[in-house]
Amino acid sequence: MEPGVMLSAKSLRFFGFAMPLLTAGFWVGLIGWWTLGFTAFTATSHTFNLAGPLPRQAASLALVNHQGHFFSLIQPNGPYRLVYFHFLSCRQICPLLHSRHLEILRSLPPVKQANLELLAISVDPADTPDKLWAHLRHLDSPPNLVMAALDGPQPQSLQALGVSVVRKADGSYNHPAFSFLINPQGKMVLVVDGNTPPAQAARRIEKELP
Amino acid sequence: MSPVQSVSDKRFFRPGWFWAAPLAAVAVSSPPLSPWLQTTMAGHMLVQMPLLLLLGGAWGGRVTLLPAAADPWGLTGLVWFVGTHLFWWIPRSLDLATLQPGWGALMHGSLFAAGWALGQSWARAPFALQGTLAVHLVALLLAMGVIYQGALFVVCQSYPLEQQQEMGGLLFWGAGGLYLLLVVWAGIKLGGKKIG
Repeated sequence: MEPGVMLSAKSLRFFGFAMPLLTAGFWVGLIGWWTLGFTAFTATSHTFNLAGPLPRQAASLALVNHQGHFFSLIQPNGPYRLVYFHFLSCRQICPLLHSRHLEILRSLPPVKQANLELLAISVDPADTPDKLWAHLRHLDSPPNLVMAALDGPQPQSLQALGVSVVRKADGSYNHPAFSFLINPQGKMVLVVDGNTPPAQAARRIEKELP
Repeated sequence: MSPVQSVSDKRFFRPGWFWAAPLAAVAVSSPPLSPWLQTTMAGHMLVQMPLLLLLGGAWGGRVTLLPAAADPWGLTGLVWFVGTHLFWWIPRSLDLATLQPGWGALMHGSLFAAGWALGQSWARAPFALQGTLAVHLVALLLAMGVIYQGALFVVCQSYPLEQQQEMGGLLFWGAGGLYLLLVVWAGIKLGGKKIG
């Protein structure tokens, strides 16, 4: 005897028609909610989209630079900052990110370059100011490149900034390969993804600079 | 009224299988097997996840919840399977399942349940529906293979770029192989019958 024998034939027919539709509706609704309306399928895009549309007020981060000076990401009347994230033990993406950002900087007209600070923030607590300084000396870096590390764990601030950082089982980190442009009022005005050619990225950044 | 329909049906009920499939699923989802499988993206997505679906499917052929009259073409179970499968193939979902044990347990349980839903619905589904589902799966694998292989950035945060690209290659060629199998299966199933 099947379990369904207690239901009438009409109920069973309705059940057979409604259940697949309800099930499909459930999954479409769940996946739509989960991906912020089918716009964010990765942890990176989800965190970024959740932070809100651009331009938006950037969350501040407490940082320490390669000279050991403590400072905040948002400084009233500070410079325009082109921010990107990295960690020193990264052998794959981060060296490319450094080269890419130096190329972006060099692609800008000298007047615009002077108005921009390149801020490379390490997400690895093992990257001390000494190590950042030693690394900076190896790079053919301009004076407006600042290397910094997070002054302690700040997961909520990173999330509010729209940055997803994950420490993997092998001790390395995953972080976005984006470039974030923050203006002197502390607003994030532009985000350029890591696949945009440096010359094209420079043109977009140039339009935002005074 | 028991949800275990086949208990009364000696043709299908195998007490050994009844316990073996869930127990094997627990073993696949627990240490030391689970962390070992999850060390690589391919181990996670191409071994552990399909294994849980298969074990659920093996159970689904024997333990029925929805009576055939209430789900005549097995559509509910098939839609549930597709929904679950799609959800866990979203990179953000996979990341959470890899990085947080609670999410991992949810993934393992829901995949077993999705396999179970597929197992009890497959035989009820008409050939056209079975073919549609199979083509959907091949297309999904192919699309994910192209994305994973071609992306120059990490899509799943839990795994490094080289594993992602390796996984993309395996998915791409695996989907090609599955497509061939699908053609052979369709040929056998139709047995030279003219359609339409």
